[in-house]
Amino acid sequence: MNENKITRRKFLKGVATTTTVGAVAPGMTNNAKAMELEEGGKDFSPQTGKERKVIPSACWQCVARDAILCYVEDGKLVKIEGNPKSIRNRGKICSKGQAGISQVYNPDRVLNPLLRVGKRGEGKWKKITWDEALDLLINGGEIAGSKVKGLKTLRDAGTPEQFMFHYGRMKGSDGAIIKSNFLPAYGTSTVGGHTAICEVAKWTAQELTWGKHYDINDVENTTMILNFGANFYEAHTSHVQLAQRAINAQNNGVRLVTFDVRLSNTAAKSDEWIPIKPGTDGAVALAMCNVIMEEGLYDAEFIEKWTTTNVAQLKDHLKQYTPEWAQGVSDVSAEKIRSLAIEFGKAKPGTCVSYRGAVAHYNGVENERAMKMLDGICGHIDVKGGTLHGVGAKFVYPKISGHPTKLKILDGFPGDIAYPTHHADHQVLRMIKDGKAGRPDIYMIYCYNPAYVNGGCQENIDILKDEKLIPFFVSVDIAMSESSYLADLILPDVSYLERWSWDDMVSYDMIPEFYLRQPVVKPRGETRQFQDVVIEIAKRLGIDLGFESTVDFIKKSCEASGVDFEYLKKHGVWHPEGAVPKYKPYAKELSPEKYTGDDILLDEATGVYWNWTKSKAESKEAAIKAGYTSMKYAYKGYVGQKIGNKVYAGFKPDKLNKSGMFELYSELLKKKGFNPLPSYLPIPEHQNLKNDQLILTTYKVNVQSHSRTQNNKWLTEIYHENPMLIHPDTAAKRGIKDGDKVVVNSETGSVEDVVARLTKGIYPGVVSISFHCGHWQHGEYASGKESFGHECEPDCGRIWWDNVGVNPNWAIPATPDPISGQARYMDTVVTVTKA
Amino acid sequence: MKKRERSSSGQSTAEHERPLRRREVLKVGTLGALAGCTGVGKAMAGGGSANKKKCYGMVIDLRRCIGCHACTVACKSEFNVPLGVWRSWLRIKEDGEYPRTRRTFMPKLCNNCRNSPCIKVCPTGAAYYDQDDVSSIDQKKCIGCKLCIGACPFKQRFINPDKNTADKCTMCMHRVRKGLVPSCVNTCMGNARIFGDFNDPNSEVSQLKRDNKVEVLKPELGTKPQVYYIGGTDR
Amino acid sequence: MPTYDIFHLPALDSITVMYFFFSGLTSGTFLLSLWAGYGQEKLKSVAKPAAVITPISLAIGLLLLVLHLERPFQFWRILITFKPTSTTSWGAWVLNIFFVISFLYAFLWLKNKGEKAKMLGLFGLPFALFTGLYTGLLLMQMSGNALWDSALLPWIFLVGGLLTAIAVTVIVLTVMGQKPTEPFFGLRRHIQALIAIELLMIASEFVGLFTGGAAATEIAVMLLRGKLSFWFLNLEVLVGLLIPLGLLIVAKRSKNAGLHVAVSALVIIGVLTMRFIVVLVGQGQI
Repeated sequence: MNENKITRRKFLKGVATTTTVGAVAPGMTNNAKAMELEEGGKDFSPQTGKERKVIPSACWQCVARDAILCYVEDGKLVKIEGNPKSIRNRGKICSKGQAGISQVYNPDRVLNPLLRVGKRGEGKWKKITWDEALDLLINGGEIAGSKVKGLKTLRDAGTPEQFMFHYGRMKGSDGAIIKSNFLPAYGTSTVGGHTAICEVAKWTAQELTWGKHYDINDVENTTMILNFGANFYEAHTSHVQLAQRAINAQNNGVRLVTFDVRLSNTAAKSDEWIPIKPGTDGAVALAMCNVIMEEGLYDAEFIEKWTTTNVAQLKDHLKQYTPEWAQGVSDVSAEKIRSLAIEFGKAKPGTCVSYRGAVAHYNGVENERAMKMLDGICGHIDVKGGTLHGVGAKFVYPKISGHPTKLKILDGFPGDIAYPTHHADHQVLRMIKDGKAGRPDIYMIYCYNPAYVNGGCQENIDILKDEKLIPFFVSVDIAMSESSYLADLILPDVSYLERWSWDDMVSYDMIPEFYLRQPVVKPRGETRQFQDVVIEIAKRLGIDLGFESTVDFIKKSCEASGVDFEYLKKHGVWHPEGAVPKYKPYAKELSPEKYTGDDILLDEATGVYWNWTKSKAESKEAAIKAGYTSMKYAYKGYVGQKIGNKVYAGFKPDKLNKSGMFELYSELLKKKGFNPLPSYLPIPEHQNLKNDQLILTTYKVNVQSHSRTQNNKWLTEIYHENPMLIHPDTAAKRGIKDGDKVVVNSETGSVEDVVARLTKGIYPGVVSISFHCGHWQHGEYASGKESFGHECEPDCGRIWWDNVGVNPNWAIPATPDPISGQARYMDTVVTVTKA
Repeated sequence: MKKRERSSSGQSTAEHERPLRRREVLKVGTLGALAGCTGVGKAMAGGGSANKKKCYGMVIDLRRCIGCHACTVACKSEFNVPLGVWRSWLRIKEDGEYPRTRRTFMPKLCNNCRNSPCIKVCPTGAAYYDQDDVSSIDQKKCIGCKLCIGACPFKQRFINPDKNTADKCTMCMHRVRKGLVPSCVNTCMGNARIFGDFNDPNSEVSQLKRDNKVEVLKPELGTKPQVYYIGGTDR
Repeated sequence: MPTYDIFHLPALDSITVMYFFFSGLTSGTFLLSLWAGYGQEKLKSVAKPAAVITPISLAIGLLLLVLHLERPFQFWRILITFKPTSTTSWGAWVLNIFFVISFLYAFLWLKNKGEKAKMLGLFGLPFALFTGLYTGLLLMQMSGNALWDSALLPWIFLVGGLLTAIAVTVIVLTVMGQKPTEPFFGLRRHIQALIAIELLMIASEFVGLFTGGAAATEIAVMLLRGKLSFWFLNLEVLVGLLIPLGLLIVAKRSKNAGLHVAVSALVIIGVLTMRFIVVLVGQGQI
């Protein structure tokens, strides 16, 4: 399968042979071979010259989860590089991936189970054994004078939902063991994630439009890239994959145009950076759609056959969104919108990239829908070089089907969010405070730092600190964090480099990559992989999960999936023989036996064939009565879409009972009182800004990911102080000079001690502060403070920075958007004053 | 090399445009100019081998650099470089007027000069050209006088706090001699860094140097750097 | 955010500056002693003390040189190698030979064998000149630093060394109880002349800076108007050169010991400031 990998060398050779055709070619190639150096796969100690031991594994510094090779010298992990056998990251890995060594060796790791002995948040701990820790967790007991209930107590009382499990990062087999086995077997589905603070608006918009949430942009095969608020040269769900392909495309002359409020590195590398007012990307996309329809550059067949609207209706709907109107809204010139729209409409194919810059807004879902419409009407959907659904490995793995129950605290306050398809995790603590939907007795976080990562830090801290609201707070973590610091019990997990899991991130080559994460070094101290811990907890509770250990689970998954476990251990990645990219899978016609049978129903209203037994319907009659759209989990039984008198695979729905069409016109949204066609939703707070008010946006940089890499010394050395970016004109009005200390105030709170950085790389009227920094309890490199059990290394004494930056979440409210529950990280209205 | 022919933007310094140095203005003897790669090696390394001398160096295609710092960290990890010092670094520069603001990235490393001021000033011979003409440091011989640090016009040398000796990029010769590209090249996701032997006319670096407009840093100093930039260094 | 870049710690620190100062002083006292020994009748009595100061100053200089090394105990390596391209290698050898010469020279003066000493002194003259010039040469060899890229630098350093040599000798003589009589007046004229030369060279240096490209001009502007103008204009030029010159002209016939010490102290401050500015600014540190 590695033939799919285009290395620089092969690429060069290819060019050499095509340009020199014949005569000189053989000589050239021989010479070229003689001097060729290999790119990776081996490594030698610069001191001793000895070859370092190589172990393939998988990264987990961010959700991109690339395949890596890890080099071990004298039992110590010393280097990480990309796995050249990976078709996704092609032997490359970013700065974060390489700095991950610190996740193992950072001086502030938690190496023993820690029990709180002082007041909550006082920072007084006692090291305890795993046996004591699990006994406390299962049977309850006393923590610093207060009695707490255990897992067994709750389960025996018939209230397993009183145990809430809230994770930040859990994918692949890590999630499969816990979410698909342990938690349902235990009986709780009070389970939260973190998608709402990420990009849920994008996901929900995809689910409303064309099904599964992950989309990819086939930039390497495209002719034009239109980018709304994505920063893929610095951070992206598939950063290394997309960045490599995009720079290749640019080098081949493909134009990249970026709309962003800030000159990100992506904007800087783009052929054009177009500054835009925050939250108005949708307006520009709609105006572009308008131009494309007016100019007749649309794909009539796709619109008429595969969408839920038609050319006439679309034209009529888009009439209101002229480029001139969009200029007034977004500050992007009408002329520019028109010319780009024509260019994009003529690009065959083109692809529209969008991310948090466009979607982490009040109107995020509508913005994303507008961008999908842009791709859709141009005929860029599911074609080579267009916008497609990513293809990831589909591991088959053991699952337990229990009948778990849950507390209704996961989806925000009633009526706030129309379709919380990935929950509203930033509302969980507020729901707990409110208490009307109940409060968990045990609140367990896993690889999650709610105090820091959610908006409204102060309120998060106050709730987590309150023993009346959260009686027993357990954190599973690898190092001290702001949230673990407030916990009653910390269970030390292994880092991703000491861990077993299979993983399945999507591949931009449209060929699935099955890959493995395996321990590169022995787990440090008393740390234990939490998946193994839950297997032991299950045993102690008398639950049989059907597998003995994480490795056993992985072996069983591999066996069921037809993947050779030993091969994965040796090579790290595996690709199915003969797999090829599949384009336009929706247009595949289904043979009649696929959609006939006793379990299968045709929903006349939508034309969807569906298998009612896979929904929550009690009987066939109940399913028919409710209909496809209204039956809970009906989408799980989706079979095909009837168009005319043929049945097609269609756009398979996920999370929502949409039809198998490309739903530009959304009945689901109409039902909730929104405009069924993609529309511009003005952000209420931005409409009447006062003179002194500014909009605060946030961003990520290339050498940090989220909130969990700041104790990686090589990264924090490069990026530790996050300034507030402000345009010189905006700053001048406030008498702010470069380097001044300022305070950023909002209704939620204020960010103190911010350093102002004047830059012409930002839209005036906006200030921007990156995430990542401003930790107050995350070890010495991140926060300047040593954590409990700190173990010095030589570099501790060489920390040359004293400013650890600021966290904008002190001023950002934890409020959801009305459709998906997206946390609005780009919308906050603030004032900025000199400190 | 069709794919590399995209015209670059904003480069300026061709050899003939270089400003006169002050010392030249003052008509005081300059350091003797030295010719191409091979000559220097023999002169400085004292006696050559029968084989053709190497001239290792790098071509950095700035159009392909996305400023990701993967090289910076790869280098830190390869040599376990202590905090506060760097063998490879990325300079980020912002200029231009809104909304035509520009940000440019420039990876910096030891230029492996063929006429190295650092090697000249070293009083103990710790800074030397090795058998492949790569500017190297003999850690045993270095007394830490720091003159080479001052002498390097590219500010690429530093005192390694672990060893108390001068240190810098070695072009990963410990890898190159085992048939591997340098660590930073290996990790460059834009494939902006290309390493090779300029004495081999068929090497990728030679081809790139031939087919593109390339520039070196501070050509007016006559140090003959072997790190060539495509796409405008804009110093 | 115009530029985001990282700089390593500068190579030359304040110990280096002090070492430069003492090597200049060494060179100056030796030359002064020789100058006094040959012909200059009025200065005769200066020859011996200056000769004695020389090896002491050089010993301090050499000690500082070793101390500024990151690996001082590897110092011997410099003495088992000779690198013709390295100014420092030359410097190390010359300084060591010069140390022996200056020690013998001082010994001969102390034994009142003035004539033999003068003969030896002639032999030592090139070594002394080199010692005075070479710190400047060393900086010149460091390419890419606009301020150091000047052929005048060694001469500015040499004249600075002579100035401090006279200043230190005056102070030493005063401390030893010598009355400010004839030899002092001779030294005064020398100070005046040397200050005039130093000022001329600094002026030409600025001409060079202003015509030497953007980086050089930037430094010139920084020295004259920027954040360094206080140190350069007030301390180096005014306090270190102009005020002493003025005092010496105004109080032409003064026999006040305090005045001579004060003038000397100001000259030393001026030269030290000059060396600090040249070294630290040259490295792009300030």
